[in-house]
Amino acid sequence: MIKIKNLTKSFSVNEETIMALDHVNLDIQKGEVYGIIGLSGAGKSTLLRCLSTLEQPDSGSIEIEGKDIFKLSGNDLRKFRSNIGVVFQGYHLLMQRNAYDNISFPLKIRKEPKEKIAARVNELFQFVGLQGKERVYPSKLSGGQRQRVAIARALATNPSLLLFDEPTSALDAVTTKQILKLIKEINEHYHVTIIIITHEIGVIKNVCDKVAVLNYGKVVEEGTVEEVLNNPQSDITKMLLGKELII
Amino acid sequence: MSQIIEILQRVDIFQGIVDTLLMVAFSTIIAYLVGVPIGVLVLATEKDGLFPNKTIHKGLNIIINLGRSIPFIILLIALIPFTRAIIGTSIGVRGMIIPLAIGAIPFVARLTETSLNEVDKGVIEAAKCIGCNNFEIIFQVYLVEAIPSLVRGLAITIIMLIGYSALSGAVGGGGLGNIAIENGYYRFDTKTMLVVLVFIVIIVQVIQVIFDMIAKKIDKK
Repeated sequence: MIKIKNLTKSFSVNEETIMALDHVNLDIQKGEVYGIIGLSGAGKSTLLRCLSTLEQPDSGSIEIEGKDIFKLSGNDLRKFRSNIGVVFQGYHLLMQRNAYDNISFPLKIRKEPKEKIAARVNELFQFVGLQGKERVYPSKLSGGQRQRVAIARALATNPSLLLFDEPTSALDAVTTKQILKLIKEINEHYHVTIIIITHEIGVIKNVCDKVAVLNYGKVVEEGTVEEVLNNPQSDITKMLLGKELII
Repeated sequence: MSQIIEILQRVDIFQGIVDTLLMVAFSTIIAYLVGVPIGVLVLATEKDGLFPNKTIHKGLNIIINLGRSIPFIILLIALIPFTRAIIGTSIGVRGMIIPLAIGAIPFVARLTETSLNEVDKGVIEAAKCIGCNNFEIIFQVYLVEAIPSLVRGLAITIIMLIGYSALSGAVGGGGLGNIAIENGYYRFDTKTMLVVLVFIVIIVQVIQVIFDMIAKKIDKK
C-alpha cells in the first residue's frame, strides 16, 4: 500500500548539513500497524512529515495506493490529505472549539450533510470513550482525553491511513496503556493501516506488527516485531531494547 | 462641588460624550473593515505563509510602517481635502471619522497580523492535514482561533481612537476632547478641562473593563 523509495531529506543547521533521511526504503502493507523507532534526531519526525506531505523530500518518492504523493497538488492534494489521519504529538486541537466541533471539523470541511456528520461523530465519541464530553473545550480535558479527541478527529473521515507521532510521549503509564489498547482496536475495527513514530520500545512491543529502526536518517533494521526484538542485529536496536549500554 | 455643578451646566458634557462615541464607533468600523483584510494579507503573504508573495508582503509592511509613523495631527490636516471630497465637510464630528479611520487602519492591520501570528503553527499544519484549503484555514482556523486576541486588540484600538479624537479640537471637531481643548487650552479654564478629563478617563476604563470581560468569557484556551 505504501512504498517509500530512496527518500532523502537534509537540513542545514549552522552551515552544517544534517541528513534527516538518508535513502530510506520501506514497504508497508495494507492493514499493518507499522512502528518506526529511533532516538530523537533519528529522522522519525521528518519521515512522518513527509508522509503527511507537510514536508517535501530532496529526492525519492512515497507512493500511497499507487500515487506519488509529492506530485499531487490543489484539489488532489487536499483529497489525499483528507484520506489520511494524522495524530500529532502535541494534538494540535482547535482550542476555541469544543470536542464535538473538533471531531466534526474534517467532515464539515468535506461538506458532508449534517445528519451524516452527527451520526459519525456520535459513533466516534462512543468508540474513543468520550461520551458526555461533547461540549467540553480542549483546555478543560486531560492529556489522555485530548489524545482521544485528536484520534477521533483523525478517524472522522474514515481514512485508509493513520499516522501517529509519539502517541504516548506525554502520557502517564496508565493512560499510555489505554491509548495503545485504543490504537489496537482502531486497527481491528476500522481495518486502517497505521504508522506509529515512537522512541519507546514498549509501544512497538504492544501494538505493532512490523518495525523499522531508524538511526541518523538510515533504516538500520526492519522486519516483524518478533524477529527484530528477539534477534536484534544493530547496536541501536540493542540499546533501545535496553540489552546493551553504549556510553 | 458647586463649581463642578456650574461647569456641568455650562458645558454640554453629554453631547460631548455622544460625539466622541459616534466618532470612535464609525471610525473603528471603517478601520476594521479595511485593516483586518490587510493584516490577513500581510500574514498570508509571508515566506512560509499560505500565499507566499515577497512583493506584496514587503510593500504592505512598508505602507503600514509609514502609516503608523505619521503623527495623527499631521495626517488630520493633510487629509482635509480628501475628507471634504468624501464627506462634504472636514469639520465637526462627521469630518473626523475619515481621518480617524485612516489613522487607525495601519494600526489595526498590524494588530490583526500579530493576533493571527499567535495561533499555534501546529494547529495550522493540522488543518492542512485535514484537507482545508487556504480560505478555510484563514476563516475557520486563523480568525476563529484568534478571536479572543482580536477582541483585546479591538479595545486597544478604540481607546487609541478616543485619544486621537481629542485632537478634533484642532480642526473644529466635536467630542469631549474638543471641549477640553477649547476650555482648558484656549480659555485657560483648567477646572473645566479637568472635569472633562475625568469623563474621558471613565469612558476609557469602562471600555477596557467591558472588553476584558468579553475576551475572558469567549477565550476557551
